[in-house]
Amino acid sequence: MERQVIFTGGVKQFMMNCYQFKNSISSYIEEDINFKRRKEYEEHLQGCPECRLLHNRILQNKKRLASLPKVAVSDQFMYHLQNKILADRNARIRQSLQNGFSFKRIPSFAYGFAAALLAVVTVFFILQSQGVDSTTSGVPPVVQEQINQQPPFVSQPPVRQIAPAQQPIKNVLVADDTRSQIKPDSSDKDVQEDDQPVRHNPDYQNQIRTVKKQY
Amino acid sequence: MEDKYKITDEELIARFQAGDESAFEEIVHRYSGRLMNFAYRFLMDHEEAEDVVQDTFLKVYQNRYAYKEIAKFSTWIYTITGNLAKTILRKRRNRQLFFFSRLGPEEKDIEFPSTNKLPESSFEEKYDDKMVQRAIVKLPEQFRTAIILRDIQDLSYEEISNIIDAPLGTVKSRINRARLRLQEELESWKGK
Repeated sequence: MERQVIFTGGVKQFMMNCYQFKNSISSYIEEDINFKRRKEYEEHLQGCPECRLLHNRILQNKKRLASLPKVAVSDQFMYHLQNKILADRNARIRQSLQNGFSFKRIPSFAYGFAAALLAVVTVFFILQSQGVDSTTSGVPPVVQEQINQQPPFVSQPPVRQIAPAQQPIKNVLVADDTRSQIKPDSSDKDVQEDDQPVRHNPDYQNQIRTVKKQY
Repeated sequence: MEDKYKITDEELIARFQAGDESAFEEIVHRYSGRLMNFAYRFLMDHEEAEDVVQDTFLKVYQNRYAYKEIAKFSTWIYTITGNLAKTILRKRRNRQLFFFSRLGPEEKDIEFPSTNKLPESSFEEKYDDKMVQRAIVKLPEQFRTAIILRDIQDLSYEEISNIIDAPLGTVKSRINRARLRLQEELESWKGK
């Protein structure tokens, strides 16, 4: 519905219609209306007897509702309330006793916690058993300590095997005049050994290094 | 006595959550009247209204830890009462019965209002209170809740908006329409 347009002293003014007036009653009564709408409302209020009657009746009803007698609870109210609370509490206790132990009542996080605990204990035992295996089985701890305190065993270098008699004795001091007479034999392994690199056991080398470090 | 009223509702429920049963008794003392008034105006049945209020406090007792200080305590407790009252209303609709023996204070010892126009007198004033109550009960559920909370319980628009879980504009619109409908009902009885 459009607002009525009137001209007052040559000035165009909008007037509120009855439908808009009815929609604005509560806003006016609650003072929740802007200045322009309030002016339009009051103008319509003055100009429309039916809307004025409606406005007055609604104001009256509002006051009447606010002054309605307060309804109180009965004297037995607290007694009945306490009984309800007690009955509810007893029912819950009874139900929990009837249900007894149930896996459903265990919260889900408890299962996860139990699994984690089991895993930790298992890993602990595994590590413990590995620690036992690494030590010499059946050796008393005192003996084990002494073994640990001893320097690491250094294995003897491999003995060079020299063939018997067939090969001339090396490194024998010979007179200068005879030295030239002795000629090295190419088949002589010992002679050849000087030229060849000595083959060493790598473990032996490590042990040598260990001993050197210690001393 | 003064000390008790200095404690806010939120502090009381916090104490109750901490285990202080006397705080719960104080909550019952503060809200039993207000909630009874609201429930009765909504249902127009004293016994049912009292059941609703008792069930409200029972729910508060059972679910005390459900209250978080995000909203006002009054909003929370009014919401519980409103929901319980609506449940009763729906059950009543299914039964389609009305028990005259459970009428409230204004309704006892009266007859149904006649359609004749009543004279302007002090008798009409008392009579109008009862007519107003009957007219309220005839309103649709949404309008009834809004007008009771605003015009009888004198709650603010914001509180009503939180209780009925509707926007502020919707609340204002419902209150306005409820007042217009109430007036239409009264006019139909007065035989205008």
